[in-house]
Amino acid sequence: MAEELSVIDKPEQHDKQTMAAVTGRLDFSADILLGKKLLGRILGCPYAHAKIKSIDTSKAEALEGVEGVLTYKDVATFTFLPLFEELTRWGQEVAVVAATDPNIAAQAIELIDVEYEVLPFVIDPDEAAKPGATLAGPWPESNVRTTEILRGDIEAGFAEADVVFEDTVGWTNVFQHSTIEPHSCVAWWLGDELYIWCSDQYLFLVRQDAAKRFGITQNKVHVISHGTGSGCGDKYHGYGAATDDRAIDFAPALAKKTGKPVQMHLNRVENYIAATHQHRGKLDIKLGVKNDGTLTAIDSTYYGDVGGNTHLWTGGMTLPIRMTWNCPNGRFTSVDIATNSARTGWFRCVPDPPAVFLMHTAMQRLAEELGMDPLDFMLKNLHPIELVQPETEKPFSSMATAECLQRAADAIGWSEKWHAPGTRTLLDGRLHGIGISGSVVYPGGLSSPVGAIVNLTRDGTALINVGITRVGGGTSSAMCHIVAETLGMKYEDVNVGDWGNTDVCSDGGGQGGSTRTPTLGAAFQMAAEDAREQLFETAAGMLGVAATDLDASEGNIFEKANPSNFKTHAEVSAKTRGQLIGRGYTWPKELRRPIANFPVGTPCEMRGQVATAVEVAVDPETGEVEILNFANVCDVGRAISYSGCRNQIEGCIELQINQALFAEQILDPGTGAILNPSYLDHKWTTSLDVHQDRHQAIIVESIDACGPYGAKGMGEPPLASYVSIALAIHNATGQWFKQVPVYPQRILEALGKA
Amino acid sequence: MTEEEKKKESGEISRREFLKDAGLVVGGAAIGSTVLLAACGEGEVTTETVTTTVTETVSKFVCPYDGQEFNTLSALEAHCEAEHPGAVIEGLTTLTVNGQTYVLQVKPNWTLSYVLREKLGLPGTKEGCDRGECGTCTVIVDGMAVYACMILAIEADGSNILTIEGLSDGITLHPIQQAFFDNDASQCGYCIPGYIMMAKALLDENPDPTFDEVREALSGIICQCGNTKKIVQATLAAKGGI
Repeated sequence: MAEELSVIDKPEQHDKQTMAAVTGRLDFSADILLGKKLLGRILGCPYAHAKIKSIDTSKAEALEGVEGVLTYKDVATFTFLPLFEELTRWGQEVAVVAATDPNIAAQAIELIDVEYEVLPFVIDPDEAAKPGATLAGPWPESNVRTTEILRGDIEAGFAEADVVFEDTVGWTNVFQHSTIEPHSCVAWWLGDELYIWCSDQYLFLVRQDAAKRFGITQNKVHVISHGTGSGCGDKYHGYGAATDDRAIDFAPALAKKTGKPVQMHLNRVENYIAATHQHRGKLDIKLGVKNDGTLTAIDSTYYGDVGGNTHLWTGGMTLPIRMTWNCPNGRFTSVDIATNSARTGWFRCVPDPPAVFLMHTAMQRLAEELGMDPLDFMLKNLHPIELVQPETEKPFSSMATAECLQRAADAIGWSEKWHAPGTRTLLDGRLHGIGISGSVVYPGGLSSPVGAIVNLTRDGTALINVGITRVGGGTSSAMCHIVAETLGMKYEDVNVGDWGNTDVCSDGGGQGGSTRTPTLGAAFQMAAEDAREQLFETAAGMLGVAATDLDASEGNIFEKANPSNFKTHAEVSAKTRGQLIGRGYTWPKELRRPIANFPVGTPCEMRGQVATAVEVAVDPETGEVEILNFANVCDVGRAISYSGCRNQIEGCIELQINQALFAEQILDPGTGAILNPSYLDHKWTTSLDVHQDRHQAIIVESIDACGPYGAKGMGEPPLASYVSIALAIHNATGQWFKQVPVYPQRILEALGKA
Repeated sequence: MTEEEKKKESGEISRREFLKDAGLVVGGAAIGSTVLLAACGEGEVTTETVTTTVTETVSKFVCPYDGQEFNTLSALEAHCEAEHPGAVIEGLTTLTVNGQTYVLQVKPNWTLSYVLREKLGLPGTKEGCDRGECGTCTVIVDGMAVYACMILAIEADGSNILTIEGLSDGITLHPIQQAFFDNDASQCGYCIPGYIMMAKALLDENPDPTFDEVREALSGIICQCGNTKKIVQATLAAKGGI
C-alpha cells in the first residue's frame, strides 16, 4: 500500500489562489491599463473560400478615434501576421481595427470596403474525401491524408474469430470550447521591448513566438498571465497560423503600428468564429471476436474533418483504441480530411472524446450481439499492466482502467440495475437505462522540459514562482503541496509568490495534455530535494549528526533514529549561509519503481485512465433525458491537491453532459457559415440543466510508477467518457445513437415519433 | 521644465513611468490589482468617506463645442462658461458605485460594464460575451442583479451600484466570498465575481433559499469549467453566515 504522506492528498487544504478569485482581484489580461488602451475588432470574410480583389480601409481610417487598421497588405511589415489575400473559411480574419472605444472599432469595421472573388469550397467531409472534390487544403491532389499503423497479423486475427462485426459510427459534433473568458490580449511596446498580457496555456511559447515574429530576443518579450478564463486547448499560441490565438496574433502588431497599448478582447461572436473547434470524427470499424468475448482483431478507420488545420493529425485519435484494448492484431488507419469548415484545434482531452464515443458505441453493439453484459465484455479485453503497449513497446507506469470501471459500476449499482435494452419502464412512463464505459486516454503524462526554483526564506518557510497561468485552479497549489511534502514543511508554510510571469518564473511548460502536475511537479520535487539537502547540511552541524541521518516533517528537521533531537526549519534557516535556493528540472518518462516484470529505469507510457457510469430516464413522448445518477471516475495516480482533483472530475461531469446532450456548432452546408455563434444557440449547460446532487466524483489512486509522489495529470481525462450517456439512452430506448449530441429530436426520430 | 516634464510634453515615456502605468508587478494578483486600481485613476480617488463626490476619473470631460479635454468637470464648466455661454454639457452621468459617487461624461453607447471597467477602473466585473449570455458581468443595481453589459451607463444614471470590489476590503471577506473560498468554488475564476454578485442578490431577497431555488437563481451565469456543484454548495453555505 502507498506510504501515508503528511501534506499531499488532504481534502481540507484550499487552493492558494482562490482568495484572489473570490475578491475579484485575480487579474486577467484585459484588466490591465484600464482606460489607457486602444480596443480592437475583427472583420471576417463572408464566404467559405474567396480571394480579396480589392480592399479599401480609407473610410475606416478616417473615422475619428480609429488609430490603426491591419490587412494582408501589412504582412510584409511583420515576420508573420495571419491575414491572407486568399481566405479559406467563413469568418476568416480580413482586417483588424484598433480604436479608442469599442463602438468606434465596431463602426470602423463596417466602413471597410472589400471586393471578393468568390471561389468554390467544400464543407461536407464525406464530399471532400471523394476523388475530384474541390481542394480545400494545401495537399496537392486530394483533401485526404491517410496514415496506417499495423499490429500483428490482421488476417490471421479475423480468421481466428468466431464472430466478425462491422459498423460505421459518426459523425460526432463540431464543438467549440466556449472558454468563459474569450481570447484576450493586451500588448504594448517600449522601444524594442514587448509587453504582452495574455490568456494562454503556454506563456513561454508565446514569448518564443513573439521574439521570432518581431526579430527581438526572448529576454525583451515580457509575458504576463495571472488569470486565464479557461483554455481547454483553445488558448495554445505559438504553433502556427492554424491554431494560433488571434488576440495574441493581432494585439502586438496593432500596438507596434499605433505605438499605443492595444487590447484584443474578442466578443462572443468573434470568439466563436475566430477560435478553434473540436473536429468531427467518424469511425469505420471491423472487430473479430471469439464466442467467449475475446477480441482477436481490430480494423479501424478514423475519419477526422480537420477543416483548414492540416497540422491536426487525427492519427492520434486511434490512441485510445490502441491503448485501451488488449488485441494482438490490428490495423489502425486515420484519414484526415481538409475542408473549408471552421478552424479546428486541440480540445481538452485531445483525441479521446470522439474516439471513445465511436469505439465504445461499436464495442457495446458487439457485446450485445454476443449476449454479454457490456461491463464483462470490457473487463475481459482491457490492456493488462503486465504487457507493453504494442506500438511503443513500453509498459504503462500505471493501469487502472479495470478499477475505474468497477468503481463506476458500483457507484450506480450496475449489477442490480442492468437490464436488456428497452426493457424497463419507470412508474411515470419514462424509460430507464444505464450505460458504462472506460478507457485509457492520451493525456496525463510527462511532457515538455521545464525548470523550477524553490526559494527558502530565513524564517523557515518557502516561496515558489510558478511559470504557468491559473487556468483551471489547483496546479500552483499542487506545486506547494509537493514542495511542502519534500521539505517536511506544513502546507501553509509554502506560498506562491508570482506566477504566469515569464520575467520572474522559470519555464513552466505548456498547460496541455494534463501534464503539469507530473511534469512541473517533478521539477518542483527535485528543486525541493536540492533545497532540503542544503538545509540538512546546516542542520547536521546544529544537531551533531550526519546529514544522511536526518529527516523532516511538519516543520521540524530531526534525527531519524532519535526524533527528539530536532530543530525547526526556522531555527535552521536562520543559520544557513544565506538565502537558500533549490533548483529542479523534470525527470525522464521512465519507471521509478518496478512494475510487473519491468525494472526501474524502463522507459514507460504514462496515461490517464477513466470510467463513467450513467443512469438516465428518457421521456418517450418528448425525448427529454434526465440524468438520475452520474459517476465519473478518474485515476489520478495520487491526488496531490485533493480539492483540485475533485473539482476537475466534478466539472467534467457537467461538460460531458453538455457535449453528449446539448452543445454543437452548426455549420451551414451551403455557405460554410457558423449559424450559432453564441452561448445560447451553441448551448452550454447552466446550474439548472444539471442535478449537481446526483453527480459523484470518484478519485482512484493507482500510485503511478513515474510521476512525483505517484501523481498523474488529470485535468482532461475525466472528460473522455461522455459516451456512457448515449449508451444509457440506448439501454433505455433500445435504439443506437451514433451521433452526438443526442438531443430530443434524435431520440424521437429513433423511436419513430418525429 | 524638468527632464521628466520635457519627456511628458514630447510624448516620450520613461521605463519607470511605463511600468507604473502598466501596473507591472511581480507580487501576484492581489497586489497587482491594487496597483492597477491606483494606476488607472488620473487623480487621487478618495475612499475615506463613502459620500465623497469624485469628479476625477479616467474618463475625461470633453467640450461638446470644440473638443477640448479636461480632467475635471469643474474645469470643463469653467471653460464653457468663458468660451461658450449657455452651453449644455451632454452625457453627464452620476453613478454611485460601492458607496462612492462619481460624476462622469459618458457616450450614449457605452455600456455599464465598459464604464465600470475602463472608466472607473473596477476590473472585478468581467466581460465574457458582451451580449447578455454569460452573466459574468453581473452587478447589483439598486438592489437588483443585472448584466452590466446589457444596460447603458446613461440608463444607470443616479443608480446605486455594487460590484465585487464593494463586497469586502480584501482582508475580511464577505460571508459569500468566504463560503466560495471554503468550498473551493473557483476553477479558472473568471465567472466567480458574477456568481458571487448573483448569490448576493438572491440572499438579500431570499435569505433561506432551497437547493433548487439556488440552482434557478444562478442559472443566468455560465461556468464553462462546469463547477456549479461547488458554486451552488457555496451559496447554500453562505446563507448561514449572513
